[in-house]
Amino acid sequence: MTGCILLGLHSFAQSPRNLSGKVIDTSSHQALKNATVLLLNAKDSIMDQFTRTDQQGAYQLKNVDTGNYVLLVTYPEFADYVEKLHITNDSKTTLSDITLVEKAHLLEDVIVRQKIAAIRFKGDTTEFNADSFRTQPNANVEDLLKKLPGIQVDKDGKITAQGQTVEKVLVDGEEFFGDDPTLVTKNLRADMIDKVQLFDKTSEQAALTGIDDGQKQKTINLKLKEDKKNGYFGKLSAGVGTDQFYTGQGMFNYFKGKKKLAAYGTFANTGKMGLGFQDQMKYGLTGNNIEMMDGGGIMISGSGGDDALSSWNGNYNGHGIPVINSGGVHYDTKWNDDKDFLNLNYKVGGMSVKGTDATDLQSNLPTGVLLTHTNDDFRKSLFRQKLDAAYDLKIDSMATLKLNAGGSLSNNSTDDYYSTSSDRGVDRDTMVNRGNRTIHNNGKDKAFNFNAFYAQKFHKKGRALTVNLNEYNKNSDVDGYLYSKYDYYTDNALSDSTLTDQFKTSTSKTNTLDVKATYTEPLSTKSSVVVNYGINKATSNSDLKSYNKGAEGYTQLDKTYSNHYKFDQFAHVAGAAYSLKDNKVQVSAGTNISAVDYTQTDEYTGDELNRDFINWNPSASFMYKFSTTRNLRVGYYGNTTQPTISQLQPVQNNTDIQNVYIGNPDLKPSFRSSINGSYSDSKVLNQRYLGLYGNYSVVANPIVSNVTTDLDSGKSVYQYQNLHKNTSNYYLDLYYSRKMKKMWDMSMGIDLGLNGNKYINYTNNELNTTTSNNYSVGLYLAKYKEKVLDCSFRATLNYNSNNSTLQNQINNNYWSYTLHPDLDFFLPAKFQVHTDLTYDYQQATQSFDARKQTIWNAWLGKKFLKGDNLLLKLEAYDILDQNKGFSRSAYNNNISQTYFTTIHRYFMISLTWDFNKMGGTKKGAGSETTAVR
Amino acid sequence: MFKAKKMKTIFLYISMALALTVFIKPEAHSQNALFLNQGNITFEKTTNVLAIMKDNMGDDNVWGAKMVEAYEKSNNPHSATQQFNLAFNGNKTLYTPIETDAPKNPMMDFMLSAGGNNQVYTNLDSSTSVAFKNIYDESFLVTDTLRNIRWKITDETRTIAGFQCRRANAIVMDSIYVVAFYTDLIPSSGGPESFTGLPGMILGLALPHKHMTWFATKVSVSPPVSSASLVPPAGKRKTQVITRKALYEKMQGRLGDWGKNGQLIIQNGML
Repeated sequence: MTGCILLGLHSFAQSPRNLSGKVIDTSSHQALKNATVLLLNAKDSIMDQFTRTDQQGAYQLKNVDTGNYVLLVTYPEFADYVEKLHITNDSKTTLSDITLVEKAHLLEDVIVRQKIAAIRFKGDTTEFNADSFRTQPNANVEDLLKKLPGIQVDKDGKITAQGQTVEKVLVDGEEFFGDDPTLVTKNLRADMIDKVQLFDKTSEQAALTGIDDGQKQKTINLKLKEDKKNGYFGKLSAGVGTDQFYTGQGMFNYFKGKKKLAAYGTFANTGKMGLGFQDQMKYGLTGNNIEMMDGGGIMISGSGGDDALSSWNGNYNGHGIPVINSGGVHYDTKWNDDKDFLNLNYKVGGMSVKGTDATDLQSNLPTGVLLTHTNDDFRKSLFRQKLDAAYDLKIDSMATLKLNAGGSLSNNSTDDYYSTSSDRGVDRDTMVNRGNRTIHNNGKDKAFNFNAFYAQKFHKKGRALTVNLNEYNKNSDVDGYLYSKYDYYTDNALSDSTLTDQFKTSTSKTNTLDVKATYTEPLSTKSSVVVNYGINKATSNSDLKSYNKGAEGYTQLDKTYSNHYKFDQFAHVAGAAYSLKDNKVQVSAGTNISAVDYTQTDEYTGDELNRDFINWNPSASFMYKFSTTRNLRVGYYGNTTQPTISQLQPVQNNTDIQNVYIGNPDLKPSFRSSINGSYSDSKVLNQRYLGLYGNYSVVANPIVSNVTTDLDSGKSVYQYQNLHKNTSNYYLDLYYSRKMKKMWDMSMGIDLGLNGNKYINYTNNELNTTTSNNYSVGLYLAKYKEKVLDCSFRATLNYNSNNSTLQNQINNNYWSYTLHPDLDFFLPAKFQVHTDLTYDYQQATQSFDARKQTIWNAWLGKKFLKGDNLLLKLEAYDILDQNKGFSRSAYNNNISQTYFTTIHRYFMISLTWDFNKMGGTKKGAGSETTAVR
Repeated sequence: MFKAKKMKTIFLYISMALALTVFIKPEAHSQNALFLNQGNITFEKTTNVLAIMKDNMGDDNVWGAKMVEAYEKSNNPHSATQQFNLAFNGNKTLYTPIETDAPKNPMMDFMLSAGGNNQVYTNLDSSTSVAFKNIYDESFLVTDTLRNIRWKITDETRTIAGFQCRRANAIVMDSIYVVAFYTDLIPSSGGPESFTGLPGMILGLALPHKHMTWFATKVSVSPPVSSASLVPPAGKRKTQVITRKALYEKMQGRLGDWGKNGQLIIQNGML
């Protein structure tokens, strides 16, 4: 009962009504049809409803609640009519007639003129420095503009400059509409603005901003201040472990405006080397430079590929126990409106490794099987310093110049103690030889490189000219001792012995110079032609001297194993390519051709070896884009491979007398053709991905080795020959992954791989065709939940088959598989647990035993401090102590297996502290979420 | 002599043609303005790709910041443009992409392709719309009532494609600031994408903080658009019919953990 009354009262108090009225033209006193009648809420101008007048100029606003409104009536070329309405329960429902006034008449009555400031500006663009005009804290952009000479802002926010109305205000080149403070919380404040630029929109300045509609408009561009970085951040990390393992890292990065200084140092004997890639990028300690190509390609270029101390993943190759120390300093700065950029790097590092490699090699010869066991105890050390500098200069909007120069110094020493034994027969029943070899070398390298790159663009879009010059110079000096003793057996009894005891010196100098010019001419908006021409000059000088040991030491020159060669190569390289690109299709085709001429001079005899070659390098590619997420690519690539100088005329060397190389001056180039294709289809919303990749390549007239192995001594002689048969290789890979909603939203992936090759060589002058194939299936499962867990499991199954026509009775086919779980759990109280395990199994073959290995690692971490900046970690590496370095390979008629020393079980405790103090102006942006409404 | 006379005639024709052109321009009719009840509007959609990249990857990770810097320095256009046609007759509109085979702006294409070629049929009488959207591998017919937008009317005006327009502001999808310019001369309350509900046709639309604008570049009344030709898009065999809310939930469920880029895809898919 009470409810009813309340409800009744409520609906009575709200009782909405319909309002009606009429719109008339003042001058003609005629009803205006189609006039727009808007009812706005008085408090915020939000439109409540709108209507249009009918033929008689009549309108009706329906279900209007009580309250305060603004009635707005508009009609093209008529002045707006505005009336405040206060609607109460007693208000009349019929409003009085509204008369609209034509704008032309209005002007006659009330003349509105704006004052024009008598200031002239020179040039196309006038620029004001925002900071030199004081504004109140939190002042808005209009407040700032009002302070600038020659610019006026009226009470409605209309801006006038140089007597003309400013049509558009841009912020960093993008139109600024002005934010409505009642709707938008973040606002552009005056103190966020660096420069105010005033120009006519067709000027060059406007073109640079990228927006040009061909109309001449007074435009203001507000350049925002850059989010300036001032401050520093860094990391300190140290760990100690069992078996004297240790690791330490320190990194520091300091910013001031556009200057950046960074330094780092690492030392460890756990195989960790330098900085990981993430850290390299974060600390900017890399010469890696990202560049966006025309058409959106991304090019990442690094400086110096042979940098042993800053490899991509920061790891050594895994053989031996390493001790690695490295450090570096980086400095970069930009100036002159970021047009000039300078980058300096200095790196220093030392590495020493010791260990043993033990290799079993099985050679399948026409007359039988030779088994060789080699043991190599090695110690290597390297100390290297590298300095490089890069300077980028943007000459104008069309031209850029990049200069790079770098130099490095390195000292290295290697000691190898080899012991070998060769036996005949699968059961090693007949002794062939026993040998010992010791090599000590000390070397010094000096290298210098210089690169200049000039790019010129033209007014025609897409036309470009680039010139690249590259010079590289390297000097090496090596001194060393060789001691080698071999005993040879016949019928298991010693029959012969050789001894070499020599001191060797070697100096080599290499110099290369490359100059290349590339010109791109657009044929249409979609197609273009690229032509290039370059020259390439390489010279080298190699002087090797061997001295036999006599009564007075190493004084007798061994003429057989001493030589001095000079090598000169000159090449012209030219090419042309056509490319077409549109929304769906990308096609390109072209070829490069080079004419190479080289001479090798024996400085002892004056003999010259002269060769010239014409090398072809055709290529073509086709890509079809079905959609953004589905595409097909097919490509062809062909290239001539000319014989190398060491295949034509190798330097006589007795470092390993069991393996001797002899030259073949009649070698001809071979030609490789390869076809590759890929198809990828990703279904984003369903989180499914399918990828298919394949490649097939075939080499015509291949240069293959002819190995003549003497079964009695175990000696092999290598010579290269052209073959009138083709060798080939292929791979095919299919990858499929998806998210499985029904199974805890896990990601699942399947990988099918197929690869193989057919290789032909001569073994003891008999043709030997080796076919090997590998079939693999992989399965991947993963589950990730932010801040809870990150788990994955991978299993791979492989079948390897190997067939050599000379020894097809020996079966070397085997199965292998790997299991790899990897689990991370984020526990309460900032604890984190990680564990991963790798189980490997390889089936036994006729030549090798079965092998299995389980490597299990784990760590427990806890984070401390407010920003989780301190991490304490307890780490266990190879808990089961099973890590043994191992690898297997098959090539030609050989199958080999190597065990090598590597790091195994240790436990470590480490502490990592991340610190930072960064200041700067933050853009006033709040986080925004999108929701449906 | 003869030549000069001929030239004169040509000039006369040209002047007449010019006069005619001026005559049929809408603003030439002052008192009984020429209202357009049907026609085609060409919209140019501009997406400031560089600004979006800066917002999405400019601050936190080093790779992202380097990419943005490289893009800014490169020759690639900083924004992507696309053309759409809005056909209208009375209270029905049909918004469709104008296909070209020009190469697309390759940057962020993956992120921006979702919902980038929508076809939207709007019936203002029944307050319903049917939008055909391709979001990667899936297509949807978003069938729903019109988005209810609380427009705030302002007294700012500008001329777009020769039409005097009035500005209105609003917030959609909880937080996206929208600026629209509508004209009294086209009484249809339509507009590009899902933006409707103003007293006249929207000829300019901007999402200033999302770096996207739609501006009419051409309005034509001939050839005439018949009401019968404005029909909802049909969709394809596997197209799912869905409501706006269900589409949002679907995308949020699948892209919700993709960070800023996921939110960008969802936002564009919902426009």
